[in-house]
Amino acid sequence: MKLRFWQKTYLLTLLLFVLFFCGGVFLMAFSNQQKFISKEKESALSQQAYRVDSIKNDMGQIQAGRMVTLADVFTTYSDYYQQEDTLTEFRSLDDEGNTLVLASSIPQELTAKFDAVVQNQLSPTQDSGNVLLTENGYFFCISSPLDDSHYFITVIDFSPLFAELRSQRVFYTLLCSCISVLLAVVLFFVLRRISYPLQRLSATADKIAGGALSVRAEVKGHDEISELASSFNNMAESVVSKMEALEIAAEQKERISDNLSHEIRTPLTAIQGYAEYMILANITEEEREKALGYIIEESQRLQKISDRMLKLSVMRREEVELLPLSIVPIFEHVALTISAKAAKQKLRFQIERVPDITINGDEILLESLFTNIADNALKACRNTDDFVSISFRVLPEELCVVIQDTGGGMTEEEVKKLGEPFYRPDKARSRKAGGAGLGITLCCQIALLHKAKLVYFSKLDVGTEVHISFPLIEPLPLTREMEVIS
Amino acid sequence: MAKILVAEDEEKINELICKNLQLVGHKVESALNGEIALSLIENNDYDLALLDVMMPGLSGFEIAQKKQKDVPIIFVTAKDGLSSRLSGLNLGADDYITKPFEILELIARVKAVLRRTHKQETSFQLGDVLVEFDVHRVRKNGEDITLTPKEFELLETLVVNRNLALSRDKLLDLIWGYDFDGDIRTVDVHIQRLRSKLELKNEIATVYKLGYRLNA
Repeated sequence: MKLRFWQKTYLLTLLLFVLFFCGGVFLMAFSNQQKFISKEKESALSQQAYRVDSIKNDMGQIQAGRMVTLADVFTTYSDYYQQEDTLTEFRSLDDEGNTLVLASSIPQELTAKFDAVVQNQLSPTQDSGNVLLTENGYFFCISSPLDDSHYFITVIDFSPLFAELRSQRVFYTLLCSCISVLLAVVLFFVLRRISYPLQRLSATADKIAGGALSVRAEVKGHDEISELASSFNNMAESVVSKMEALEIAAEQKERISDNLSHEIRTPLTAIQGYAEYMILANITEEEREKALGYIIEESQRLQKISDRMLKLSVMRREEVELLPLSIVPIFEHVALTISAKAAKQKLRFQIERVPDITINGDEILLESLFTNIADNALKACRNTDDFVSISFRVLPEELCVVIQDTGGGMTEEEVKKLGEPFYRPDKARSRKAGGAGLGITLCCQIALLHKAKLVYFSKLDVGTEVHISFPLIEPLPLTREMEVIS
Repeated sequence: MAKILVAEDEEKINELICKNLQLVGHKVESALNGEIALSLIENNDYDLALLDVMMPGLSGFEIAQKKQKDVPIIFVTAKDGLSSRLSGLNLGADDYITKPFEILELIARVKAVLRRTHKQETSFQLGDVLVEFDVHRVRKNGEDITLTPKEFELLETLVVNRNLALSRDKLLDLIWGYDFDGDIRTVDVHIQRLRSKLELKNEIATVYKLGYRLNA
């Protein structure tokens, strides 16, 4: 039979209580009763002593006066005590051990019973008393020496005493039983109730396991169970939030993988398709040349993608060395590239005077970073009114490069996904313009390597501002020419 | 000859598919994004729509769900996962082909879908030869020409894949089946017979190292 926790507690508690309580009660009762019996015995013995004294007194007088025999005296005493409801006997014991009853008020049936006991307890030096149990009840038998050969025996009926004691025991037993039963009942209900919070907690856990992730346990009071409930809730929160994070990460992984596969398969499809077309189809020379042109373009695209992926993996392994260099030549190159592209797209491009600042970095990566971002800015522009500009903010502890465009802008959602490989806010246009979808991912990696911060501010239909902040090697001394922007 | 819509946002691939379908005798129209594709479907009667799944605007899947017109669909896409295939087929697509694909495979699948919807061509005219597929008859200048079953099948295959070269192995598999134990030269023999019976020596061309092609 499987027992529940509260049932085990219940049985254990009940058992212990019954054991200790009843045990204690009975021990106490027993000890009290023993004391009581002892007292009665003592009282009987002291009464006996008193009688013995007066008998001895008389015996002395008789020896002196010789008017009556010992036997008569004994008989008189025996009768006298019998009137007082005390059963007595006078015996003599000679040297050979023979007993002679000289006077007795003890009824025949009793004598037989206690004869053996009495013979054994006769002692010439002291009183001795024994309790004996006969069919007629309990008796206390006291024997006292009167002189060398005479003994005085008193038999007291202890039956009422023992009956009293017995009824006391019955009472105690009853009392203990009642209390135990009462406790059994009350304890049962109390403990069962105490186990409810645990059951509820268990049910809550099951609900959460079944999928109701927002369910939490009730926390009432300040005891161990409420602590358990509270800890349990913490655990549930933590697990649920980790699950959600995992789901998001998994979704992201799937998205990246889908995008990657798309980015690679698309140019491959074009290359294979046109190659097949060229060789199998009944087409003109002109068509063949066109097809070949496409194959070359798409091969270049594949190469760009694989190039960038390689760069990404190299950067992840941090095999790049950072040296102190001036940003002036870097921006000279960037300006050249971007202004040429801008001219082709008939867009305006402007760049502020480049401050002569030195930062730790890799020249090629930095050039790549700024060119990429500026190129994206150009791609975002929609008509000839739009422009791209690069400006600088020099702060005591950092250099901030700001690349701004007045192009299409992006929503918050799109900005969040920007660093993801292959993510494009506007798919069609960016791919047409030759993008591989890895540009910003690379930029994020480059920024990370340079311990720089990359922040995008964008508003739909207004434009985008990209802030790239580099920590300076040594903080520059404050001069009046610099604006301190806090 | 069917009217087919090709919806694919990659211009080069769109062009590729269109050219190939035109070679084998279909009429094509193309769309470069989802919204245009959907509106074209609703405003025209296409016999088949080839939809790329990952397109800007509406995706191929969304178009399949939103369209009111009852037009058969083949999804073309780079997404190879089982779940994508299942979604595609569950949305009621008639077929699903993944990139990169062989053009002959695409044409075969297009033909299969058209056959199911009875939109495939019933006859074909080349010069003075008329081939009628539904009644299994070939006529030259009005007169019946007797062809063996294999010869007819060969002719049919060449016509359906016209302007595209078919290798001997491919022809053997398609017409004689994978279990055929005989000589591959039986293909050549049959080609010879077709050429002489129909006098199409120029049209049924041998493409060096590749096989045979019906130029039309």
